[in-house]
Amino acid sequence: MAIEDPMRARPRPTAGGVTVAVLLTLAAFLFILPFLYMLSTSLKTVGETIIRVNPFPFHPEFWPSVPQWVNYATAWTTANFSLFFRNSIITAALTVAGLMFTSALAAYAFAKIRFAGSRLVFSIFIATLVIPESVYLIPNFILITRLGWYDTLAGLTVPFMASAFSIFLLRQFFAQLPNELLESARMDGAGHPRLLLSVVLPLSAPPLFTVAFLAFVGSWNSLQWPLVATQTMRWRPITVGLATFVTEAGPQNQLRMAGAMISVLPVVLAYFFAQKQFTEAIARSGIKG
Amino acid sequence: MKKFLLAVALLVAASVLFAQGKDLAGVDPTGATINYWFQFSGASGDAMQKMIADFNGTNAWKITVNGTYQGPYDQVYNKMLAAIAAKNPPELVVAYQNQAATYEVNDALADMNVYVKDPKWGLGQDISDFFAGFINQDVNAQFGGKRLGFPPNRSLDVLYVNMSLLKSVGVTAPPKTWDEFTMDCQKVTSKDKGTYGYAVDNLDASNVFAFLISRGGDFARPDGKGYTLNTPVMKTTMQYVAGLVKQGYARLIPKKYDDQNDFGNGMVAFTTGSTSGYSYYAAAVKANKNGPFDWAIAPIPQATATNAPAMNLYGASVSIPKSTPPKQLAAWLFIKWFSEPKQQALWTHVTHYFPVRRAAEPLIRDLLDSDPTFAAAWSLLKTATLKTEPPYAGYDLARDAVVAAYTAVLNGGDPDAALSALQAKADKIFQESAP
Repeated sequence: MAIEDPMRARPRPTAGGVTVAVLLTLAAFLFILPFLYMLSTSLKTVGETIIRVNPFPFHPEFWPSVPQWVNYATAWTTANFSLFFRNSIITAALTVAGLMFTSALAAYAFAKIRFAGSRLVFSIFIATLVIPESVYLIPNFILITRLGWYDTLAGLTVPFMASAFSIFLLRQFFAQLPNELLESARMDGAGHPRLLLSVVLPLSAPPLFTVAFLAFVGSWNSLQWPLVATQTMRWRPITVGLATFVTEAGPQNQLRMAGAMISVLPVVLAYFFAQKQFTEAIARSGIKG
Repeated sequence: MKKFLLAVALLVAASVLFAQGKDLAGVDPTGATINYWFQFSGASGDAMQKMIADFNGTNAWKITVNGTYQGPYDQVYNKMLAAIAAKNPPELVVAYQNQAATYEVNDALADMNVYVKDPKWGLGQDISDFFAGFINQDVNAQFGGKRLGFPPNRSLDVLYVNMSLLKSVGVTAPPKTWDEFTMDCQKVTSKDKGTYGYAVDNLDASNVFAFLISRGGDFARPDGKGYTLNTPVMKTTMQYVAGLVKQGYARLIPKKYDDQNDFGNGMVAFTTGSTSGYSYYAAAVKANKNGPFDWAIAPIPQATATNAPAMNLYGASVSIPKSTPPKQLAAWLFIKWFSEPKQQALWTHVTHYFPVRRAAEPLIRDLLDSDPTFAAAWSLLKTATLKTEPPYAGYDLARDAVVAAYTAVLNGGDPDAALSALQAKADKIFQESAP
């Protein structure tokens, strides 16, 4: 007679657990609904985007009668997506790299180096979080124009290579690392650069992934600044391509959604890679949504 | 005495002409390169690029125009404000009259009267061929009569009508008055069929303006020195639409363009919007699952029936930011070329915008003959009393305030409180934005 291993026995579902599971399933469904809408609309004809509209995925009119895969090719070619896609990847990669560099250095200084006025300076940094992004628009534009960065890659990336939020996030995490750990490394002769590179950063994967992920998403989704900072198509990102599908007469929603599907893929992939670290970092930093 | 006065008049006229000629005397646009910022995308954007290429390849002065899409109107506007602050604007930009006024608060635009009236480079006798209502729209009283823009095209705020739906309830013609409009909305509203009267685009202040002028009101004071928004006629206008919504005859659209979609679906009898949306409406009707239905374009209903309905004349112009005399002249020459009948007709065929001069009409005759709906829209131009929204600097902000007040009233808010707050806000905007 086989004896059931109590460690492997499945816990008996409770009423509360079932309720929570049902509610979470419903919430997950609600969250995935826009994505399904984007997918279904991207496969419709222009006529179906107008007349075949239903908000419920279980309804046949939510889906196209015949999937129009050609919409993806049309969106890719008519809006010059190959160029925009390349531009977005380069811009996002450079922005993320620059932001990681400046944020890690600043956060380390605020968390682990005592210097006169550090609290005041950090407070000023935090205070900048309340300034709306639109306020930066004209000063940033004037700055990049005077630096000769208008319509260049530098103009698109450099202004976003520093972020008070990223510094705050990393600083909160770095501050939790035991000072004893750093002291012992210091006794072995490590200076600040070595401490940062060999001790702090290797232990800080979750917040680093989070900062990188948020910076990537921010850069990938930005539209206003790329339009302001560029004049030609040379460095314009994928969001500009998406915007061209809305004309004065009305939107071409099937192409817009096909383009959105294409553009959202890198963000989804980035999230899958960074998901664990992202959740852990948010939990540890004490940030609440 | 008469001879003396005549002599003085001739002297003044001659000096004005001389001054105008002198402004551009010696200016040579040869070889100039200009940047043109616009909002056209899709088919319009492609057509604009082709026309620019045509100009670049054929103009006698070897002027090169670099036309670039800069996002929708609001993005172009934001970018221009930044570019003016950085002293780095383009040489030509698309701009609504009020946006141009905002740019001119910063002394950023060239007075295009200099170019329009110049004996060598100006329009000459051709100016009489332009529709006066169109071409006068860009002369801004807030800036001493400077011409801050020039119209490349125009459109009207009209009533889109599902005639098949109206006929199904025994109505054979679009409503001419608001009373008829109410009755028609009531007749077509059916819970069983899912049809209703009017899809309210409460996100567009131009609709409020169109309704207001149909009842004899206006956003601007007659002296052009401020807004007049807290008025009985404004209250009536907003309360009227709120009443339709309350009775279920009208519905607020959840998001932009949903009114067009409901129209294409055959669910709604009336929508209001610019004639520039004509091609999308045509596509929506064509895509109807039960086959295309009979539809029409009509004037916005009026307080009383009239053959000269007051209608909102729409349309962004192009403005010339200050740069160098040769570049400014080059920008003007491109505008002048674009306003020629051949180019105007070509642009109308692609965009369904109205051409700005009469000589283009024979060249769009094929379009008018083949498309009675568009022809009806075109004929409205000749009969309507054309009104325009205030060309004030800062009007964009006032529009946002109008939308907020309109939405509040439509959602059951107190109209007196909403309009009082609106007037106060608009006054503040006017004062703060004034040159």
